[in-house]
Amino acid sequence: MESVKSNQSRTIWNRRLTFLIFGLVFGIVLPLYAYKIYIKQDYTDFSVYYLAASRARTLQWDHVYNFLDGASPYRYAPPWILLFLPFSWLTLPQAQVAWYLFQFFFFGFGFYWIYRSLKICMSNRDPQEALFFTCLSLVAILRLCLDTFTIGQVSSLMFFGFSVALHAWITRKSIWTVSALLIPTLLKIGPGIVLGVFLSERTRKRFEAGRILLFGTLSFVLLTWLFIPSWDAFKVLWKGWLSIVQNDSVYYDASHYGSQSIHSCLLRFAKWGWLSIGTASRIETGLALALLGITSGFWWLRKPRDLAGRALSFSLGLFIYMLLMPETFKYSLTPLAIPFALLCTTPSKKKWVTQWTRGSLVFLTLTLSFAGKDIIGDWLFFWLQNHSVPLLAVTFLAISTFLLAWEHSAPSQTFKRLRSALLSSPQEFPLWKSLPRVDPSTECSILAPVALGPEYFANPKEIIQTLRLWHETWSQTSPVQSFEILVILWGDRLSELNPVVQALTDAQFPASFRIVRAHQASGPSTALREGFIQAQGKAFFVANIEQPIDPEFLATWIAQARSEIKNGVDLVRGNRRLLESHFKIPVRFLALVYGRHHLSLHLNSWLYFFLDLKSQDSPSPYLAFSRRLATEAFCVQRCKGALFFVEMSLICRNLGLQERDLPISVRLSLEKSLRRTLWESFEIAIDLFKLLRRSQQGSYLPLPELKGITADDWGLSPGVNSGILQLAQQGVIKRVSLMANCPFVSHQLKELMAIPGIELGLHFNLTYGRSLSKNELFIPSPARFLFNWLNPRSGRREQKSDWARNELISQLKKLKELDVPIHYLDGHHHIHLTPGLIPALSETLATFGIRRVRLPWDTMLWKTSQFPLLILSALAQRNFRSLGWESLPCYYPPIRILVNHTQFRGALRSRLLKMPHCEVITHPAAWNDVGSLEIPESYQDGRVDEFLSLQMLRPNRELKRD
Amino acid sequence: MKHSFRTELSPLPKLESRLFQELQAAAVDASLIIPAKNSHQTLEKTVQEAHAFLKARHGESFEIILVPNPSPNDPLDQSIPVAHELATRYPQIRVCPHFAPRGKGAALRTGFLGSRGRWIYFTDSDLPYDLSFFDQAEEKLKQGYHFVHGNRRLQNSHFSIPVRLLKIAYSRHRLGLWFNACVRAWLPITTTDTQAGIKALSRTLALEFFSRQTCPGFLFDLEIFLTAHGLGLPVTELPVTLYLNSEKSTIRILRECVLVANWLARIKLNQARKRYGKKTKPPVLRRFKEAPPLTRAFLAARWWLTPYSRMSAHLPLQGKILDLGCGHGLFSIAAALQSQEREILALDHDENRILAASRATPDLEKIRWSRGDLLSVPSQDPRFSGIAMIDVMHYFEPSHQQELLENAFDRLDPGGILLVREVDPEGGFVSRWNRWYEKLATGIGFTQAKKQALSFRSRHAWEEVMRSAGFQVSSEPCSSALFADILYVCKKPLSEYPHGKC
Repeated sequence: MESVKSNQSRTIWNRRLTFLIFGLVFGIVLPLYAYKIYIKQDYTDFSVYYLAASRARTLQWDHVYNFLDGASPYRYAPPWILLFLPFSWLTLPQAQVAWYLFQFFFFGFGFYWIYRSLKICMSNRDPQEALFFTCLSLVAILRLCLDTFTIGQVSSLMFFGFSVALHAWITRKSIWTVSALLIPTLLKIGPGIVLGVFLSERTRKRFEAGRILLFGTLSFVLLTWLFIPSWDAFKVLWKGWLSIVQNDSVYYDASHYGSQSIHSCLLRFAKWGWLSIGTASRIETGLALALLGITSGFWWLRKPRDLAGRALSFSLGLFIYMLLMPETFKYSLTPLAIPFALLCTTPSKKKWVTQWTRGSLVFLTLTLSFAGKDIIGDWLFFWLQNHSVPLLAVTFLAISTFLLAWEHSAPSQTFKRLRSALLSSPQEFPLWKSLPRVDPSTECSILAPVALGPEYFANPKEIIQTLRLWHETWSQTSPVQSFEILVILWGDRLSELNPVVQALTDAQFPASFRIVRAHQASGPSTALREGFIQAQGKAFFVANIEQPIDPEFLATWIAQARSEIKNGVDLVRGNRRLLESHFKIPVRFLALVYGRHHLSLHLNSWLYFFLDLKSQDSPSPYLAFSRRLATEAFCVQRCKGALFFVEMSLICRNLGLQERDLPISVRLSLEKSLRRTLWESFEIAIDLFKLLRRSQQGSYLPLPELKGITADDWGLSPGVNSGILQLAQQGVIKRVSLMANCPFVSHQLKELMAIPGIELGLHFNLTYGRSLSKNELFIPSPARFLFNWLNPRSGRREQKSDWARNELISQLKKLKELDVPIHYLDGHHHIHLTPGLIPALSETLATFGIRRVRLPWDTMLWKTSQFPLLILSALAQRNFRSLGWESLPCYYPPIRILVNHTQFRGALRSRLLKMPHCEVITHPAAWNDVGSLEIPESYQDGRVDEFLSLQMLRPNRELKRD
Repeated sequence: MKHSFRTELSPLPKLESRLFQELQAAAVDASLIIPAKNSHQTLEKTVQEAHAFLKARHGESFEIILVPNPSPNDPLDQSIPVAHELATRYPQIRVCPHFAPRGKGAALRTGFLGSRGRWIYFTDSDLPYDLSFFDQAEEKLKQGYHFVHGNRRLQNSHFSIPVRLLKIAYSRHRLGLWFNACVRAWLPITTTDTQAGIKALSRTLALEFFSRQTCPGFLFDLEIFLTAHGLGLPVTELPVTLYLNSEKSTIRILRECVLVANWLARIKLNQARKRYGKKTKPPVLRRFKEAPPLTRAFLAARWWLTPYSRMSAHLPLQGKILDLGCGHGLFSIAAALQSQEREILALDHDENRILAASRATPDLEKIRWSRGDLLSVPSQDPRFSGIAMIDVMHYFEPSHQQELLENAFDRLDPGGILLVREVDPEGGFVSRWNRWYEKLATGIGFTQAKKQALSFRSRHAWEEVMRSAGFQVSSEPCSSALFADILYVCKKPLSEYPHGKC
């Protein structure tokens, strides 16, 4: 009830203020300034326009543009004379008043369009609010408007153009946006930068805007013919204009206190001796480039989420224009009303942004709106102006606009694709949750990736037709149970998913038919990967949905490829470059196909040179491969697009598997859009570079025998035990460190001990769980333990050593009780490396016959947060030697490498090649139950990822058994 | 080579020849003429395929004329014995050996002299084109066209090429485009492919052409086009599927290029001498000499910006045609000039335009000009074989548009064609300009429409509404670059109530 009342009272106050402002503008400003301008005798900008128009009327074309005309000569393009020509028939005072009235109403209409824009942006709020904030923005720039009236500038016309353009932009009328923006652009050129906002539009709209711009500019130039009698006059006028534009710095002083542009500010600094002119110029160029780059980048890579975001995005261009102009006097700052009104009405979810925005608005109001000589006095006024404080206020407002525009926008499709092409995210190649399974009854899985998006050809009817053709062709020679079809849907427009899924479901294929929604896939090959994980066939055929298939050829292809795979060939590739291959193409594609054919031959010759691949057509549209190759290839896959098939060829070659090329018949009915072709080419270029690097790193080469992968933390939880046991049974893990004091140490221990060749060791623990010897030293934090150990106040060193020794004996005895043969020792949180602890343990270890102790000396740790471990290892190394303990070389992969399986595999391979007996420290868990323990362990989430990544090392081993 | 440069075929005295009269009397449906040079290895397969194809369509009423024309310098060419051997196996095969002068054009004339078909088909001896072309060609010939030729440059034409020939096929394609550009610039020929080796002619045109033919070599095709043009006989083109399995050597192509210049000059000379006939009817625009200058300017702009002849080619060449909203009648006149067998009823509610159109066509008796609309056509009138609504539909409300389509469906013969041309509102800036122009023209009263609020539909929406009226629809862009018009060709199915209509 109270809130309703407060809303009502706010509305009433809003109305009162609005009426007050209207009264001010129409009752006081309008008549007062009309009189003031009528009696004005001295120089104004309008008097120059009037002079130029009078000269044009009397055909004095040579004198229209004249440097001698006052402080600022007439400098607008010749067709604008048409605007001033009617005034030249009046006397100067009459013309001044008439022009003033024009200006008044241009501003009036400008604010009307701002009001309309705000109303649209605030659709769910009271329209009265939009009116109020429009009036508020009017008050904010009122002084600037009055300045415009006095000087007689064209800013009112520009303001009108910007306001109409804003409304048209919000309502997505590109023709009106460009047409309105043409007004300020054709007056001062600089505002043309706002047209860059079309970078955030679709290509079609951009072209449309470009055409209007061209058409409008040409029409504008032709307007000159409306008032000139001859070609000579045309030339004289345009030449005069060019001369004025080229020499604009001659007729004004940009360091004038009134100008608030970056250029003016830097010139003032130079005048004061802070900078040289050259440095100022370089700084200005740098700033201009940076601002243009940031704004263009924003327009290109961010897409407004809502109408407010759209309006703010538009406003960014206004700031670029105002900040980068050579001179920005008050009248040029009138477009500030647009961002001012928008910032007042656009909410932010972040408190600091709201505060910054409010601060900027207040600062602008104080330093620009109200800071006139009549209010703050001459001294303060000139101080503010000379120290560029209004420029600072505009900059703050620009930052606020940018922050809010950022908040009201999202990454554009272009940004997503760029990021996807440049940065290979591990999320795109997730670790397998379980190893792919094979169903013995399914001979083949047909994988059909279907891309959904504006650039792809996902027509449900054609998809079904192609799949039916595959189905019929296959079922002619084999029973329906022998194959399955997997349609893998991926792409930008998952909104298109439902009709496609419905159509596929309605098609009722008799064979095993599944639809896989590959939400994370960002390319056809990542989609294939997701399909493969769910497929059960012993072999795979890739179905190209985008182009039609020759039914006769399909039968031949299936028969030949099946036969090859049955004969032990792992990769059968349809090769378009073989002399026997055929193209059946519409004549309109002939040039394109020929060009691509040549390009592809070149590309493949490079591939041959760099990667030693022999096929001339690696990214082939027809492909069949065996499960063992697929398992290996998808395991290390890093290419999202066409180059995955190059990866596959590399793996095939490196593993010594057989591959075969067959001639094919290619039909084309549709052609990719230019945009898609360019994107794909870009992605291929980036992928190729990465592929070469990975190939050189040996990521596609087989792994050496895994001898020393060690799993720590057995006994921590059932999830940890189960993960270690599974990996040990798969032969990935060869050593297991047991935490004797943990409650689950005996859980599944018999199964673990039953694995032949497994080595078990003590994972000496003083920092987790409970002490077996009721030890006071036991602290569940490695840092606090270390502090306690080193702190002399916490007890005598001998006493602490005794406690540690007793705990070690208790843990060793516990394992003995469980019949665990102990081969080595390491420490939970590497506690065994604690300085001073090693000598205390040596005797006990000797008693239990343990001579091998882990020394985690891995120089790669310098790059991680675990670098203190290297210091401890360095300190411990001498003790180890003096005590005669053995330790293996060590590899301690950080979790960021473990989740990127290809990188992990490459790094592991290079380590194992250098040091075959290297100990690899891991902490796997089959599921995450560590967090739910009585005493939660700090390292939780990464354990499952480690398990999955280690599990993926298994396919390579299976391959060897084959 | 020298022979080809100098030899010019002498004119054939066609009408006086008794042989021709006898052949005309004993006509079969189709004569397929296959010139065979050094193709004895492929001839048998070709004949088998062609025979099976024609037999399936014409029963016994066809013939295949084999024209072996071996080179005297090539003793290994066994085309003549192979052809004779095939003739003994197939009763429909006749052999007409040709020896001099050398050239494909001359060989075809020899073959034609021995033919008896109503329709004359040509193709090459290695069957590089899909024979299904003749199915569509026959349909066109039955509609009244006299010359149907394959065009490899059409959007729907296909190339089937082995990879090894891709480069040479592409080079030939480029060369062909260049050659055709020269031909179009030099001669009154508009097609983009004169040299496709598959063509179908009516016997009338074939007689006219072979009696005028001068070129014995491969440029004889140009003379067919010129003859058809000179006599004002309707011509149409069809897309083809070309199977390339072998290609001539580059040296041969270069040699033939030298011949081209010589023969182009000769053919041009012949054309200038009216050897291929001369159109007697005045062109469309000259008919409006009496109209006011502004109207003439408007009509000239409209004629050059609108492909009337191309549009009217979609209509049947015979039967009753209704041109609804005919305006000054440019479309009706173009359609009438295209085929004398069309009876055209042209309607418009603007009396002045109707008057101007009727004054322009005193010689075209088969056009009836009348004031009114579709509903004013008496329902007892026979059905139409074609209805045209060019730039008309947007003057009606959406519900009325649908009603018009349904009426048109009812007034068409089964298999009849409805032509609709409309602005595509999704055609970007051009489309906006197009619609603005229509609004302006209607607003200032230049175009007299009953209702000034215009109703445009997208291409997809038009196709939908036309299908819902029962038509089979295809559409294509149909205007100059300044406009964004789409032509909808709606065919009424042969069955009266197809799926969706009842």
